[in-house]
Amino acid sequence: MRSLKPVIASNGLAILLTVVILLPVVAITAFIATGPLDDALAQLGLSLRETYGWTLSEFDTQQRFAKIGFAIRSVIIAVGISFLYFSISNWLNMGLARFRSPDSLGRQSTIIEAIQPWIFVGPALVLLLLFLLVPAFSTLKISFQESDGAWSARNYAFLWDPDALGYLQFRLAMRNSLMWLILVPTACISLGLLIAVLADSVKWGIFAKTLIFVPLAISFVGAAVIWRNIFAGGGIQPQETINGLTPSYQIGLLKALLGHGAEYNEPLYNLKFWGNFFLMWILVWVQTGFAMVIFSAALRGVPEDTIEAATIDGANPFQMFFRIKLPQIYSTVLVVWTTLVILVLKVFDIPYALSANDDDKLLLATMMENARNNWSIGGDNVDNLFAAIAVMLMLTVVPNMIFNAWRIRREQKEMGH
Amino acid sequence: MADLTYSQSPSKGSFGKLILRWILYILLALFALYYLMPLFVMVTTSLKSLEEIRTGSLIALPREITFDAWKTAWSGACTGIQCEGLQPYFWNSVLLAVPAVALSTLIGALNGYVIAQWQFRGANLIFSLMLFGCFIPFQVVLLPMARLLGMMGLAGSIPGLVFVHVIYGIGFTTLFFRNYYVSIPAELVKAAKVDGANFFRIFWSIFLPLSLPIIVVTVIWQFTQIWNDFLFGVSFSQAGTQPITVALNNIVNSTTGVKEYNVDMAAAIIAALPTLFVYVFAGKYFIRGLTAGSVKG
Repeated sequence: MRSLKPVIASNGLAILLTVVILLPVVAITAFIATGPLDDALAQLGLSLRETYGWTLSEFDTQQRFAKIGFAIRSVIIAVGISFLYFSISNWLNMGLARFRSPDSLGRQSTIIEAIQPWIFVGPALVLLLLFLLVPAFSTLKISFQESDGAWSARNYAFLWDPDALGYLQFRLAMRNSLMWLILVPTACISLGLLIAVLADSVKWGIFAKTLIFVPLAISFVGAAVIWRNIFAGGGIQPQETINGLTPSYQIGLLKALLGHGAEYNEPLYNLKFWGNFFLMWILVWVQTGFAMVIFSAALRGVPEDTIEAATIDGANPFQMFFRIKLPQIYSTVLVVWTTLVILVLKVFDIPYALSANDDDKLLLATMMENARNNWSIGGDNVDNLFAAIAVMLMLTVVPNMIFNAWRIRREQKEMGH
Repeated sequence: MADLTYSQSPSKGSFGKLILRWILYILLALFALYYLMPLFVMVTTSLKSLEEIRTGSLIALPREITFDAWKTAWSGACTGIQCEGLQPYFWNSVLLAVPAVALSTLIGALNGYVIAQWQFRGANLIFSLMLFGCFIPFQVVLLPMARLLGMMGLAGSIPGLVFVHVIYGIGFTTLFFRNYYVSIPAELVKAAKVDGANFFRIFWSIFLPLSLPIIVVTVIWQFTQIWNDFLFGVSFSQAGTQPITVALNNIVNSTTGVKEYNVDMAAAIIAALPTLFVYVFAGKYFIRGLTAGSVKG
């Protein structure tokens, strides 16, 4: 029997070509055809504005409604195109298989099945290649270039050369990122484990766990806003002077507890060096709930008989935890740890929202924002510098990524996949 | 009676037990303080008038409950020069989150199904790419992505943000579904194939009906991620298309006028309400599914 590979390849190619040419044409036509919808919505907005007497200006109303129209029709068109894609490619796949080997059902289904998975993962694959892998490499490329495109290592020299301007900031950013990377996951995991264990041994444990879970729903910016008030120093700008005294009032709860007066208006997170820990504190507050919930479930999954055996042997609570339970949920701890490490590396919202981006609080991620906003190193290669820091940030993730790929591969082997 | 010591051995005196119990209570109370205090301060401050914040105690309950701060935060607070409150940005976030969550969940389900149940060459490669998508710090792709969005004419628009969120959500959603579908026995698929069900049919009538728990998890996860996202919001939006987190940051860091702590807090609560709402109503399923799905790695 003839090999089916060329048939599969040519069928796949035919489907690909049809889809690649057909779909954009349909999409563009659909966009042009539905264009007047924006104007109609803008008109609707105007009439609504008249009816209800909105204070918004005419232009803004039109703009806003046109924007909503654009958003709605893009989504509808995107969904329509995806359905069209699946049905057309599926139909073509069946048709072509039958056309190429009209006689044998077995050969038909082999052809169909070889192409079918790619129809499903194809779009995601293309999207990820185009918008994830290509940008990542292009960042790598930009980082080794001058702004005019000439190859150079100046961006890295700016960060690594002790005489260069960026050296000090970069070193501090590395130090702080490393501290965050070690301390935040450790704190979240230990607190999460501790709370999961403790809460299971009191009646109101479920209530406590719910409370600790709540911060997880709050954005980092929101958390930063909340904690800003707690870490903040004394009152805001005094409104007026009364009898020669400017009234000030305490707003920072923690500072009040630590005994700082209201006059001393320096937030705790601005302290030199120690301020970093107050910033980390916020992230720990948000993320402990995540660790706790997962550990709590994992601990409940520890087999009853191992606990009973240990009890009979007279293990105390500490032995019970460290010798019996912890080893059995070890892989869960690893998963949570990985998740937290990724999160910490990405985080820049908290320092950004608190404008805690002086040199002493820099993270690699906030340093990038700084680079974009404030730096120039003789010339306009700010973007290139930005890319160079991004590559350094990427490098810090790589070990974690390799470790996890290895772990998942091993698990797959154990499962016999 | 809870068993802290897990042991009925008589060697442990009841005195030691009592001390342990008290240590436990004190520890839990401390944790409760750490996690509860900010939430408490957030809610009470938002209900006070500025005058009361200035004169009253920090942790006191509001003497007079007023929702003025909430009103201001919703429709009057200033983000830079515009003073419209969070309202327009709230709707931006809704317009952004709903389609992005729906699309990324759909794509994740399809991909997870294919990767978990259809052994084909290249599946590992795709899986690695997905992992890469989960791990990569998004700062790495910011600049090229901004250029690509510009080329597609989507720069600074809500569809552009939806697009970005869908792409960088695919990794997570696929992993969730893949981990869930791996545990569905392969015999089921084989049997269905023998019966003549095709690829899409198997997904539609076998896998999808089983997937409610993981769909809940993915939707909640994606919704929280996208609603709370700040990086993409601040990088890829313009004046009229900013999501709520960016607006919150602008309101809070707006330097004009008196600093209104109650408005800041009310704004923080409003921005968190949709996610809190989702957690309260679907949190149980979320936790169940999350622990079932992600623990397996």
